[in-house]
Amino acid sequence: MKAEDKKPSRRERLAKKIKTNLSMTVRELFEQIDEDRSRPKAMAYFDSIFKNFTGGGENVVQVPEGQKVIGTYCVFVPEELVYAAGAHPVRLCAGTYESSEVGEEYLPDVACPMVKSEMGLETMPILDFYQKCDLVALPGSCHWKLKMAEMLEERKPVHVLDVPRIKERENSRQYWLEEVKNFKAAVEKTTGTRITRKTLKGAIRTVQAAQVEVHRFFELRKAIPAPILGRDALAVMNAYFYDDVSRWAAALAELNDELEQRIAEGVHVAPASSARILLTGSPMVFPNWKVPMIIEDLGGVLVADEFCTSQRYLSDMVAMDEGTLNDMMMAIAERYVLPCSCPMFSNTLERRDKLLQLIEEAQVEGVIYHILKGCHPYDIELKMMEKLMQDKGIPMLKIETDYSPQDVEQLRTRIEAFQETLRGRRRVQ
Amino acid sequence: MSGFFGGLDIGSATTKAAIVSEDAVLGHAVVATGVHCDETARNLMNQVIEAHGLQFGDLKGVTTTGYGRRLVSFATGTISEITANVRGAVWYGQQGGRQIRTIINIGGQDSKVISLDEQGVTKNFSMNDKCAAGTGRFLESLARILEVNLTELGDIALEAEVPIRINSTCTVFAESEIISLIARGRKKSEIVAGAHYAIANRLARMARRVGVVDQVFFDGGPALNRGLVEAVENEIAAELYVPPDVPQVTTAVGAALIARDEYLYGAETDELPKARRMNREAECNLCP
Repeated sequence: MKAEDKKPSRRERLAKKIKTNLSMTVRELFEQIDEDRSRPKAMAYFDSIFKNFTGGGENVVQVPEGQKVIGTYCVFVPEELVYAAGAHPVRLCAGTYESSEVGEEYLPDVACPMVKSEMGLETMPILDFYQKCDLVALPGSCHWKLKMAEMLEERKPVHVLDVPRIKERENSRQYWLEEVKNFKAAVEKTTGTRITRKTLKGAIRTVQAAQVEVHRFFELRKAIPAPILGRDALAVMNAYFYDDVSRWAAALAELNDELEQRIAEGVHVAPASSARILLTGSPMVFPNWKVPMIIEDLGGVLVADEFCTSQRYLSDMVAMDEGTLNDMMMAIAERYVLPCSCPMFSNTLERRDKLLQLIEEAQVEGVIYHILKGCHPYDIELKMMEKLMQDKGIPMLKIETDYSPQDVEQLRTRIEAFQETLRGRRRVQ
Repeated sequence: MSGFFGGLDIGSATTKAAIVSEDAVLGHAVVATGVHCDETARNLMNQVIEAHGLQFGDLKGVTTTGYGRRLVSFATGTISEITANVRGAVWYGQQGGRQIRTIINIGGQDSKVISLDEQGVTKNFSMNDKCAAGTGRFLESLARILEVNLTELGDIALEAEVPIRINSTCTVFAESEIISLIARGRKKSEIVAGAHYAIANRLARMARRVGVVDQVFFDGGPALNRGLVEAVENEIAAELYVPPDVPQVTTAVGAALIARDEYLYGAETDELPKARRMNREAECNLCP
């Protein structure tokens, strides 16, 4: 009897310790971020989300009593369906190093740091919103995510979406549409609310309105000299995970207005001499700002990114022709898979096109390709992307790392040398 | 009177200082880094300056590089060891009438391979900075186990007819492997040669990833070791150019040349992107 009493308290103590460490990490990170006096004022809203991250701050998944919360992973769970059923989606992909020590209990050493971090947060009361979810929707994108679903099933309601890997085939499209319909049914069951033509149309419009601001934002980022740092841009996009879509869109609109004004007045965050860098590869989630912090602390500037936690997450819109429920469901299914450049798909065409387009439009001088250890899809694609960049004459640096802070000094040397190389090229040209 | 410029390469094992005038390398020196990077660097620089009858104030700039580059209070600029190494290698290549396209460097705690384009600008590089395998640290531990002087290793290796295969390049595991070879009575020269080939093989794999183009420049302290030079040449199947007598200081010379370049031709642009945040570390905690 006594031993049983002790058991939960030890877990609680561990959870508390991890939460404290996480709070320390967040505070230290903001001490560094706040040193930069050139940031746009409208970043304050997004900062407030992350500064209150561990405490469950005012804009972090705040839902009225009775409203259902649906947790999502990756970029394949149609949020429009969640909104249409009156529920609140929250994306659970995690970047907390502290929780991975718990996740390591469930996963092999070679598992990626993201899935370790997530397993820790899913199984321990560290961040409130992980415990709030009435349903967790997990796409079987990579193998880590697929198996994580199975491990979570005994703890909470989980719905798996099976994403087809050869997305262009007609049978894949049919299959995926069925998967989206299954998810709709799961959402309806969880919320007890039927999704109608009207509510779905409203939800699509709401998300589209936010996406309009996203497009504006990514256009403004391309200005020379840069009006906003890439790490701040990543934070803006990451804040969407936890916030209400309309409130977030309003805050982004305000930031966009400020950026427009900055560009008109020539206010910038990095001089024109800063190396213009595109960051891509394995996803980055707050507070894992390790690599972007190093890049921009060393004087470079991230003018574009191609991440499923940023650009890729929200740039494609649902394109519906007619307003029938069936038509909308088809449009939603297409939006989440067809334009997606995730490396789990059988070809890299979308990714190549997107990267080359971004490089041209944002006048990128070099690419930093981020691989999380154990993130096989991106690691496998590396050689192909290296070849692509070589053919186009764009220098590329591969950074393989995880969430732990121990390799910061080594990364700093590599990234510094890479930036010197980019500036050296500029001089020769 | 022309200007003088200093370069300091603060590595994990040794600190290297060099001074250059506008058109020549005047002098250089090497010392163990020790605990107090800043003090070591200042004393060493003073030593080189005084040997040439100069004073500290005669230096128009001092650029620092290496792991301790941000810990030197009197530096006027810092540069990564990759760029400094490239500058030094290109300079020594020109002195020897060679166009350097690949650099292989072994340092105290890392090793790197850098490829250059026709203009001598870095094209690509690969670094092993995660463990001591294939670094100077590995050779140090080898010398310690075999109870020989670090500088004798090369000659001992050349005595071997057939090197013994050492499977492990992890410094810790290789140590126990070597101890068991000693216990089995294997020849010292064959063990040493085997260890050199193990390092060379690791370097060659790294070099292949970056691409080896002639001329290949080989520097860093271990480049003084003739046995290692031969092993690396065999493994990458290319001739190495080791700058006579100076492979340890090429990066420090490169840093001094960068200070010179900036003085003579101005910085890269009028408005240099400043590091947003300087390192906070007050003391050097980088040495193992």
